[in-house]
Amino acid sequence: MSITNSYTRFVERDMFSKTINKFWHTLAFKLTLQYALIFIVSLFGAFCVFYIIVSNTLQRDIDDDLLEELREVSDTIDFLGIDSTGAVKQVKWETEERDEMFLRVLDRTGKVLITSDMTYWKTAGINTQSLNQINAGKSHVFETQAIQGRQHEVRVLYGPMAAGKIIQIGVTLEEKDEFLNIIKIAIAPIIILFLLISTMIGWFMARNALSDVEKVTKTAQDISHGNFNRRVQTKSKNDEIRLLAENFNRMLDHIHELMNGLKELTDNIAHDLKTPITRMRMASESIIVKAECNEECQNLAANNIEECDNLLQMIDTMLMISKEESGISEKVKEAVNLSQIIKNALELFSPIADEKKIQCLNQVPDNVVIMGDYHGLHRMIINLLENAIKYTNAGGSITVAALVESNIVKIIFHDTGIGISEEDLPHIFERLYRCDKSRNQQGFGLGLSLARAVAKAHLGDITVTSQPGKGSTFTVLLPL
Amino acid sequence: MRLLLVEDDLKTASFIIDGLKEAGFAVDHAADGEDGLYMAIHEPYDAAIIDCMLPKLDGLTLISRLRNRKINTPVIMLSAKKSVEERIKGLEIGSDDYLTKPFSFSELLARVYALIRRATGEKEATRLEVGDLSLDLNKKEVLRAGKRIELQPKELSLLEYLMRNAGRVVSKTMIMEHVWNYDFSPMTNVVEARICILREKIDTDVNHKLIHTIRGAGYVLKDH
Repeated sequence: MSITNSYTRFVERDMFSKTINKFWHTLAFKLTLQYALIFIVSLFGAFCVFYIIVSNTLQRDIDDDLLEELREVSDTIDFLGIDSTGAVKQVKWETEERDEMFLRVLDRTGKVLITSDMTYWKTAGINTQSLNQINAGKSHVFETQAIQGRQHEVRVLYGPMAAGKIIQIGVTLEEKDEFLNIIKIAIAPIIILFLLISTMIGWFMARNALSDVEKVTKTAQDISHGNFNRRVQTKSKNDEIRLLAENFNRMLDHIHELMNGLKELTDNIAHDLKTPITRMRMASESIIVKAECNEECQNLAANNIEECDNLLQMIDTMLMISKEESGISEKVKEAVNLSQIIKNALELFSPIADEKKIQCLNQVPDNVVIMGDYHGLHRMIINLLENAIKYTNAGGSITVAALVESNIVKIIFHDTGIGISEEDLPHIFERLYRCDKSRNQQGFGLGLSLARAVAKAHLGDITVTSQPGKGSTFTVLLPL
Repeated sequence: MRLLLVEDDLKTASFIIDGLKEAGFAVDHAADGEDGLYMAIHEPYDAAIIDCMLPKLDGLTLISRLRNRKINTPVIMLSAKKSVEERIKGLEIGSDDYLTKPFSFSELLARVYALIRRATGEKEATRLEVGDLSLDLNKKEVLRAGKRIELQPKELSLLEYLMRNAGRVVSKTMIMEHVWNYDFSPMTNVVEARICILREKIDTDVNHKLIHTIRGAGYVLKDH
């Protein structure tokens, strides 16, 4: 089997229906992604709004507390007298052993008159702009300061006192920051959880919505393999997918109708052509059998018959190609022994091969069997072999080999013939295409088209590689 | 021998009738299915040739009605459709043979002979002789003028087929079908090549040739 192994590289291509092989190219995946993204963005937005509201509420509460504190302290100090030791004591007492608050009494220019313990508040400054605003008559001024060496910011309130004095109270924002931190920490797992849930829901929704689309695709695939009676069945009620399926089915009905019409038309044309050709052939035949006709007359009649036969064969082959292209029904499928067909075909052509001094090698193992249409497969093998013999010069060789793999049979026809030029190679399976532009060679250029149509009707294909002057290799791929 | 031809195409019919008459048959012709049925029921024919597409009553129905009336005249069905299903349908309904248009007249003739031979229960000979050529089918022995000739299996079948139809022209299509069991002919003339080989073995070194080529029609094996 040495020869067969070297050909495998030619056929390592995906020959059968194309599927979306990358998960992330699927529409379901894209939809899920979009769904999850929208969900997460909205969730994040909602969280931000919530966070800002909470933050503002907390700030307002703190400010209210500060104002309350300011009123109380200023009242007490007013009562005690600003210069009394009691006032100093009161200030110290208000903030005693509390590192969350400081209190200072200032004069108009910002000079500190009384102060609480400022160990924790070394860099707490006095903002002259705020002082000016109080001096100008404002009831209170708030500001936020960062304190060096402390993690949390401080909220500072300025307020007027009797005799043009100004009171400054600062309170740490630690509590607020901590509360907001708890919210931040709690929200992360919630977002992740929701992300997972939304992805899952999104995936199921997308799959569900697209399952019918998949059915449409599957049906289309089936149909492209010739099973034109398939239609899309959907379980969805009255949505766009159903509309798509219905329109798809309607389109298929229409195409089917057109195709049947065309098939009928070609059948009728073929039939109508066949009848006069048959008459012509019969008339010529009656001349041949009549003894009274002279040799010239008989020769003419014989030529006529040969031309008629060619025409008829051409019509038949064309009809068969269109029949194969419309697919084969399961009815005609049977177990077909390819080994036997190949053996018989080689035997059939052996006198011609002998005459041309072409060596024919059969490397096909026994009993290569596939389910298929015997008639079509038979024609396919005969055509490929005939083609190989036709284009192989005296002294060359033809090798037929077969490889049976897990789900595919490869039949390889290798010849050492004249080969096919690069410009002809893509066209050789086209109907009526002939490499020999002068059209002197016998044949109509239908043999390979038919062979390929048969292979395709069996959901397979034929590939070809060739080196001009060295030979060609045709590989038939048939699924088991 | 009396034959019935049911064919609506008058030109085709006239060619067939002429040919059959020349071959020594008496031929009646009906141009539509109803006439054909009437004639087939009321006259005893040795065989009937019935076209598939007929006015008034189509060929398949005609044959099935004949068979329902227990009339077992051997029937060759003619059809323009070359599909296996059609052929099987024809044979199931009760026709004995099936011929796709276009056919060569010689092919029709050979089939008529074969049909009548089968219907009359004539036993197939195991020893065939044409002139000084003889073929013993049991021993697979071929003798020409007493000299033994070695033949390959396919050459033997080809010779047998030619000898069974000795004196009659057999077409390439018929040879492909009977010797190779193929229902189509490749473009390459494989039959011609095989006949050449057979001719070399049988007709060399003898005075008169037995295998003759009739251009356009086929081959005939006959002793002058």
